[in-house]
Amino acid sequence: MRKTLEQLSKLWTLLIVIVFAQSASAQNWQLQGKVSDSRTQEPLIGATVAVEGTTQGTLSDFDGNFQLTGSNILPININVTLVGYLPTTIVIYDTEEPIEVSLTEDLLKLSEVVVVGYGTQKRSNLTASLASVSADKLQGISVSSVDNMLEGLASGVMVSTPGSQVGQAPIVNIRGVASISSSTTPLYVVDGIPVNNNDIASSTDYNPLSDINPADIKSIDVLKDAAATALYGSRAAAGVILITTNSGAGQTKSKVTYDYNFGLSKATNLFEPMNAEQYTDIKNEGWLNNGGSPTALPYATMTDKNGKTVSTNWVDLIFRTGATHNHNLNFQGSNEKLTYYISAGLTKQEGITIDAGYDRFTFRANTTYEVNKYINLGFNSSYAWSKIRTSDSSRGGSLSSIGGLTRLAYVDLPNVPAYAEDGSFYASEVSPGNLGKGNNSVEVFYYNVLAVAKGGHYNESKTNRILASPYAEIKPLKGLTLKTQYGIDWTIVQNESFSPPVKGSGTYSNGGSSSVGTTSLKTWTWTNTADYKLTIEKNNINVLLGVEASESERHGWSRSGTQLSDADIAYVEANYITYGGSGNISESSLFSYISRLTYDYDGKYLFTANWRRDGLSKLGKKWGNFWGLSAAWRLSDENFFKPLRSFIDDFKVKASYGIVGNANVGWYASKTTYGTSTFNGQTSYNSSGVNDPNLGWEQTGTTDVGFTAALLKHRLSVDVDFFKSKSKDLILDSSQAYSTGIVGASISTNLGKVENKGIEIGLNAAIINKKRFKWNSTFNISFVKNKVVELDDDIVSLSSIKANITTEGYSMGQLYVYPTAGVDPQTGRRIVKIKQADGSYVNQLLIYKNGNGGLGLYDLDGETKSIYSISDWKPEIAGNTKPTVYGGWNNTFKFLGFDASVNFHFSGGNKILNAMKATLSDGRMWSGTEDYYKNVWRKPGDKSDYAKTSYNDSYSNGTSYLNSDLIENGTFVRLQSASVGYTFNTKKWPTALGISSLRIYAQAHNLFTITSYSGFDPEINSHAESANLNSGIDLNTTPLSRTFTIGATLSL
Amino acid sequence: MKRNIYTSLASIALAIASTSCGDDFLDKNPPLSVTEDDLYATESGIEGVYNGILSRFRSLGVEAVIIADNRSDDFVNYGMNTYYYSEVYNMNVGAASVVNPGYFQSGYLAVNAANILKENLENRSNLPISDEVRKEYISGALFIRDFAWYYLAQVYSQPYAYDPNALAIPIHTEAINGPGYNNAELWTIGQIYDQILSDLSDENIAALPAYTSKFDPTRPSQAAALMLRQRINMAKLDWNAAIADGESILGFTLSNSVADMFDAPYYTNENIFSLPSTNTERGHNPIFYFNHEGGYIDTLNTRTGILTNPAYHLASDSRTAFIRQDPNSIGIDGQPNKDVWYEKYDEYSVRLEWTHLFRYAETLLNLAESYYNVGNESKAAELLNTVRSRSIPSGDIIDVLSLTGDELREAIYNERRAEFLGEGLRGYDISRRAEDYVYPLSTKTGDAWNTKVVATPSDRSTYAWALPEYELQVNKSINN
Repeated sequence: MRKTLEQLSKLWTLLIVIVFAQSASAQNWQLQGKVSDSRTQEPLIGATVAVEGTTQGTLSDFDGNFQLTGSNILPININVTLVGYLPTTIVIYDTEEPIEVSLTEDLLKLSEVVVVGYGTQKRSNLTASLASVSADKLQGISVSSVDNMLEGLASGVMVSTPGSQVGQAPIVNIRGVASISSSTTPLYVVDGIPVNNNDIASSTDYNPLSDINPADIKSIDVLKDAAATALYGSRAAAGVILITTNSGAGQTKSKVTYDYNFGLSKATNLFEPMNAEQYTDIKNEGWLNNGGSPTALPYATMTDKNGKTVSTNWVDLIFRTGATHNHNLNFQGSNEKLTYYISAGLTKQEGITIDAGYDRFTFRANTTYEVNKYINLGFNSSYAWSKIRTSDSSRGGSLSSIGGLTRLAYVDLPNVPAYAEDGSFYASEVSPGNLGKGNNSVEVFYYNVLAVAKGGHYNESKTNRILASPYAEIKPLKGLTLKTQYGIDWTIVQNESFSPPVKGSGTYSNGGSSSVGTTSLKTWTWTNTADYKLTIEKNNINVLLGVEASESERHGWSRSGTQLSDADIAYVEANYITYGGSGNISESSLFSYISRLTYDYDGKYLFTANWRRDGLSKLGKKWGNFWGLSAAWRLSDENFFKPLRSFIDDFKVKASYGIVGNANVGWYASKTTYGTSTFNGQTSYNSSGVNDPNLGWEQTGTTDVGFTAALLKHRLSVDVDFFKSKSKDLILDSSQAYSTGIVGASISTNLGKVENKGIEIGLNAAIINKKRFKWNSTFNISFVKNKVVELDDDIVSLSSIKANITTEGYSMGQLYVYPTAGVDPQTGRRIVKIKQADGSYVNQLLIYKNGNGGLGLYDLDGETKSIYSISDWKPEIAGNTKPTVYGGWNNTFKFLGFDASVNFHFSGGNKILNAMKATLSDGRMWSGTEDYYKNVWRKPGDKSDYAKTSYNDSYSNGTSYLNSDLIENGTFVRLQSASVGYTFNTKKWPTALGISSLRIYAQAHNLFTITSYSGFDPEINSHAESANLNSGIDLNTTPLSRTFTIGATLSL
Repeated sequence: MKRNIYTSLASIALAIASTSCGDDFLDKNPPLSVTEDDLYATESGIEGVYNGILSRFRSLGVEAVIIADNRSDDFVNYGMNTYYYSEVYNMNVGAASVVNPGYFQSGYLAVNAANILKENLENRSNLPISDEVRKEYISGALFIRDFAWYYLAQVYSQPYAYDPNALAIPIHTEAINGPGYNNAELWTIGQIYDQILSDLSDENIAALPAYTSKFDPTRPSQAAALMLRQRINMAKLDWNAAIADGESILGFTLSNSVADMFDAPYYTNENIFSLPSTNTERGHNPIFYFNHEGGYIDTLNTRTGILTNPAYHLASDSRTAFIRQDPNSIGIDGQPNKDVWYEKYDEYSVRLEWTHLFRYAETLLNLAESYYNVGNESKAAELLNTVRSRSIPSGDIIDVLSLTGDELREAIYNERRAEFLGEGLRGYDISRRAEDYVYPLSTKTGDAWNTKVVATPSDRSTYAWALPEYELQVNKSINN
């Protein structure tokens, strides 16, 4: 086959040579030459060699040789071009000598085609700002979803992993946070079809993007400024991420590829919990500090039947090293008429806690078929099934849930056993749903974490997702393409939770309970476009017109059962004494008109205009206009630039302005309705909240100014963008006082303005480009500043698990905590700061006296009751939670058959509230960290973060009243991924084996992090579900994981 | 060429036309919800809204009972869990306390739902209900908002008896249907009580259902409104008005035993106003906190609580059957021990028991207290005896009918504690009388347990809760 191909191409070359030769005129001179690769010195076949300003030209043959004749007056300019190489021009003064033309690989991919909305464009002709990530950069990264892959890879794109609970999605912000209450998830478009990115599972977290098998992805293009995104109009304010999957195009020989890898993951960082003696000791110390009697100590260790002191490390029992298996198989190829790519993937992943697991299989079939020169047909489809399983129930708003495994593992008492002597989970005698108290006199509310994780409790989401889009392209006349594409995105999630009546696990007394249900979300999108390309001399014109309609339907129901009829038949499907149920239906529709005009003059002056009009059912004022204008000027093509050309190969300046929208709001955000329920068995109606009937589009105006330069013979490219975006008419939940009695204490309305501005710098360098060794390096850094410009009412989230405020003049989601000034070394008490009318502070001490007045403020002597009361201690704005700088540094190396990559990711400028530290140093009956035990204040003069322990004191270290002493710096640098691979030289292998390529590799993900943050991880964001407003809080969240993977890829 | 262009243009036009839409395509309504206009167009819709405000109030009412018992001196909260009312017990509810916003909010949800119903019934024309029903629902709505204000004022204000001008809570007497009403001034407890009394005028009360043999204690009634008015009048020390209210409550009788009201069907002819649970609406009661299966959250105060007084712990008292003791503990008559619960609510896994807010025994004991305060001691003793002898038909060590003076007053006070133990009355009785909250310590002097005053009416920061931090932030009219 390979031979045939070579022969074919030689023949082809020959034919062209003949054709060109015939068109040549008088033969006054003859030029001979050879084209080769500048790095490998290998001859290059099929390079076009043409005389500038004429139609004379030829192609290099299979030895790289060419011959050109002409009659032009010398000197002449010869242009040599080849796909994948940089074009070069040679001035010929003398045609007698044969010339050597060496072409340089287009390492920076300036001439590559990138995907833009509803079409493609040559990168070098872009007027807009976009970041592309090609397949080779994704090679060293083994993660389960596409958004995770982007971490640190694309400039201006901040990807943050908030925790490692199975199914959890990362937080993705492109150029800052544009919206206040609307979700600012970017719009994801897969092969031209916008796909759902909302977590519709109710039992567990579910990242809809993990339904796209990363192994199927060919490239990712991130549209950032309005010039690029305006074509997606109303959904584009948070940026657009275009994902292109593999097609088989260019793969003239059919190929089967199988990839397998095996990985091991564990928590990056865990704290050492207290052991039984430490726990007993510190708790009794608290009792004595509170004036308790030394003869009636409430805490005591217990001994097992062998006489050993019972000391349980619950953290060890819950966390594990989880194994992951990935299998990917694909079959692809193409011929003149047909391209195809068919794949199957299987992933089996164990979570880093003993309860958690993730299984997925995916199928994909992409094909195109050219019926004749007028008609092209295509069909992209995928099916994904996944099962997400965990028994952890601390998600989102329920961080303090006593079903949260990470929290339970740390707070469960170490001086009681995990199992009772009969082998059952150790449980309370009085209240068998709870953990037993052992020899302590204090009963605990907590569950036996092992009973929760291993006792049969589970929450499970089984997802089924079909993405299918057939399309047809008709080319009735030259330059005109009519395209119709119909896409379906249908997800069905089976939600299931089960709590068997297991002692120690909370649900014992209920007799078991279960909940089952289904959520279905179906969206169809029908797009019709007409694209017309016209070239008149050096004027290139491209017009796109289109209409798009889309409709979404969501259905959900659930059925709950309580108290198993027979406790021994413990299944979700079993018979229960009581049943309940509920359901919901939501529908929305979107209709749009699309248009784009691009114009360029000789690739030198470039101009693009976009306009889109959207109508959305969710809003009161349904219709909105979105548009973008952009222009670029390739200075390097101008004569005056010539002197710089030896140094700067390509230089383009660009500017854009546009308006995009964001309407990621509730399905019926403009309708005020009542929901139904029952009261005493009769129908009752209650307000579901007040909505604004005039709710309209949220609009973001974005300005972008930047330049792109290629330097040092195309070895270095520099991209710099300055951007400023201003969002107005923000759809936000304006805070309503509780005393209004408005349901949810908020109303969605168009209020407020927010601004993001910043600089993005991207460098791409081919640092070493020798025959045997290549080192490519890309570096990106973004500085983003977010600011709320206008807001009528502050948005305050203040509870035991939230401490944020969004207010005018600051970035969104500021920390909002009670001001403190550390622990007083003399008394060991927390110093609180009481703000005075003149803005100064008075320091007082916070002391909790259990059963003896409770919480109170005292003078600095620790004795005199303060003149201030607790109500005088007010929360304050205490720090920005949005990173102001982030980026990545990615390196790929090739040495002989070896390849390697090293990707760093960094982020900083933000603060984190280490609320976990407060929880794990609490004075109540729960346990904590060894760090707390070792460093707590014990005697006058001790300098400590932890206040003097006191019986049942939940205040001094900040569990109640989250305080400013818990704030830390969130800056970090992380070795995000590193990989090394070896590709065997299969050419030397017997052809009978049929192996066309074989690569083995090893990868590490999240290898190390440099940070001053003392919690699990600086990326943790415990409120990932509402990250815009509630960020920077680390509380009871599963830590991040580190993964080591080995694998092999085999192609036949 | 031209023809090709026309064909192409025509096909584009066709494509646009075929995907084009009218406003129909963009008009989507939630299939499972209804609009206010729909609801007020039918009789059943309006009835459903009325049921809605009752269900809003139910959430508040259950919590109000739990809070009152956690504030009382008859229970001890061993939970030390801020989610389980430990700060309520410790009289330490600050602006940031976990339980604070939920309680505050559920009160105002009930108030505003009631106000919205009231205004719709007052302002809409062509309502599909009779004027009689319309007036009943308006009065019912007033009763619900008044009861909600009453419960909120009990914890957010110093008592009327201490200072009628004590600042209490923000009040909206009008419905809130949109933004712009965040700033609401605090009313004094006196203003609030006056507003309640004016809402519960004789005329408005008359519009509510009177007692019949098919009396439904889950719905606002004349008797329920009179009970609330009686409580307000007692709080204002207007004993004659309180007597008039109590004497107007007719038709109800005491059940054979208190336990009868906590067994299916969970109400008797004694119940005037109760919060129901049903098979599909379970758990509208405080069982989670007071039952031993919930753990050691609220257990009996076995050091200084009412049941340590032998007269209220008689073997012949049928109410002692509610005491549940850990078999391993020594119990209430022996050494101090926390493993003692008081379980009127004992159906832990079923959770069908109703929460009783007004029952006829309270009417009688309110009357007893009121008659005592106007000097009619014999009437007071007689009423007290009626209630006490229901549970202690024989073998009582107190001769109730012979009591006079302070002894009689003490007996009325104590009987209220014993009779409504676990039903959320004691906590509010203490603050109605502007007494100190006195909790037991774990030390003794001689045979008696030491006690400590944990809150005294003059100290607002312990006696009353701080308003929730969120309200303080958003409602700019509150000066603090």
